[in-house]
Amino acid sequence: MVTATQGVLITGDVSLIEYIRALDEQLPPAERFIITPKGGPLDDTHLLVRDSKALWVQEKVLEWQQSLRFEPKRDQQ
Amino acid sequence: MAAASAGLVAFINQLEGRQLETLFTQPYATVALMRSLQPLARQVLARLVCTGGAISSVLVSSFARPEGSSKLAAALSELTSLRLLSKAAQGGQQVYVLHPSFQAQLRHAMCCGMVDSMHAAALPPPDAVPPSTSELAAFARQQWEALLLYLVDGASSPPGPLHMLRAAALDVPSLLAAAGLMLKDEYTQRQSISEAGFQFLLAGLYSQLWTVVRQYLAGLGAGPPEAHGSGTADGGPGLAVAINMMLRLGLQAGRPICYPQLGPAERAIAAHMAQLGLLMPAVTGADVWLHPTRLAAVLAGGGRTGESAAASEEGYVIVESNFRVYAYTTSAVQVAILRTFVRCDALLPNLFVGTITRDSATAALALGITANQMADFLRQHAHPRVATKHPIVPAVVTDQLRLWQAERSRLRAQPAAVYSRFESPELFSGAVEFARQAGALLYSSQERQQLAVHSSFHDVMRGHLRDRKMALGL
Repeated sequence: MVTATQGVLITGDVSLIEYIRALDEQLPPAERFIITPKGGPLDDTHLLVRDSKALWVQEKVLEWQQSLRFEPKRDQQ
Repeated sequence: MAAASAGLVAFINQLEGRQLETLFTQPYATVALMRSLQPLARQVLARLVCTGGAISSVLVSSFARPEGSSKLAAALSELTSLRLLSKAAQGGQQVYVLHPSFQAQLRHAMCCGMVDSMHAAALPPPDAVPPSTSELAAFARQQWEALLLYLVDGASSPPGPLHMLRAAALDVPSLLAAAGLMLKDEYTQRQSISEAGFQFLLAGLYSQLWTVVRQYLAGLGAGPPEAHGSGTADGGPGLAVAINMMLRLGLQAGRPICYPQLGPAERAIAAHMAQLGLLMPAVTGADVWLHPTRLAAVLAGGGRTGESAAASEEGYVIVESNFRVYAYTTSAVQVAILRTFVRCDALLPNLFVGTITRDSATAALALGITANQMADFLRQHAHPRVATKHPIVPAVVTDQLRLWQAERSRLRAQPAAVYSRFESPELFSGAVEFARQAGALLYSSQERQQLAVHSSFHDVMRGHLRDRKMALGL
């Protein structure tokens, strides 16, 4: 019987998917947002997450990207 | 001389049938069209020009040797799609008929050259002093920058009409709004720049000119006369006259036009072009003469030649590999354009000092400006000191802009439905094909037999799977 799972499909490179998985593992089991479809997990560059958490995941990723940078100040050379 | 701007000719090729045919009565348009055609098409036209007009298609197909017949057929289809040639049946055989007004104009151009007998004496009196190059450049810059400044800041006033010409003014704000460069706020009734407007600012001078002129031509071709305030009788001839005037500017390369000698429709169009800065009115001798400025040369010269001429004399930006930007400019417009993606560190009367930071670049990327546009802008306006370096803009800067752009699309999220546990591989591959053809396929994995489609496609997919399972007997 073909099963259908609804959710938000997240596509990205391998390191990004790993980061999102790490985010997921830190949460208690009740709040985890990655959905595994009945046939098994999706591949290395795709993830299925709950609709309600999709925006939160995007914000967390943006925060992560923002934290890894250096910004030359106005008076710096 | 390179053919009249590729942009203009491509625009002509797109015109509807009736408007295209009104162009065939204009001498400069026919010559420009002729120049834009492929060599073989030009040869065919040249052969047909001095004939009676109807040539049997058997004779035309004999123009080519057997191995070249497909090229001849391609040339003939190009000519037919432009309505220069039309097929007809005369006396029981197929003939090709050349458009009569096009033929007449082309014959006239071939025999008498481009000098109209009426305008043969149209040169200013020898003792009159034409405006100098710097005066022309200053006028063009003043009008064009007024337009750009109005685009950036809706509060300043757009380029106004020139009183010397006593013609109806071109409504610049509605022209810019119709081109999608500005958005009108319903409440305050003020216009402000849009995303497309930012991209327009960063584009080269030729594409800026061409965007504005194309919108102007489209307005002439479509709307009623009241909409743009000119005195043309109806849309069609006005458009043909405007195109003819612009091609004339290009093909005549710098000769001034006597304003009182123009027809009424031409006068209105010439006044609008002067308002945009393409022509400068000057009282030379007794009459008002319009002198084409650098902007008209850029527009007529086409993209490549126009850009290089514009770039070398007006470069003012230096970009260093530590992401510092120095721009030697006094113009408020150029500073405003740079500020869209460069963080301003210091602003002196003749120098803008800034840094391209991640914040400034991502803000510009969020507005829809691409990294390539930013890099092209810096390259095109490079100061002569650095224009000889290779690469002009340091590779670190261009690469980093591209990386920041790629970062924005690193994560993609779409609501989807994932199907798994297919009973048979044929059912799976059938479903994948079905989704792919409908354009709703997001992800499929052959090894794991999993499929993801847009969630809106879910019901359609369910129906399809039901039907397929019944068909396959599962």
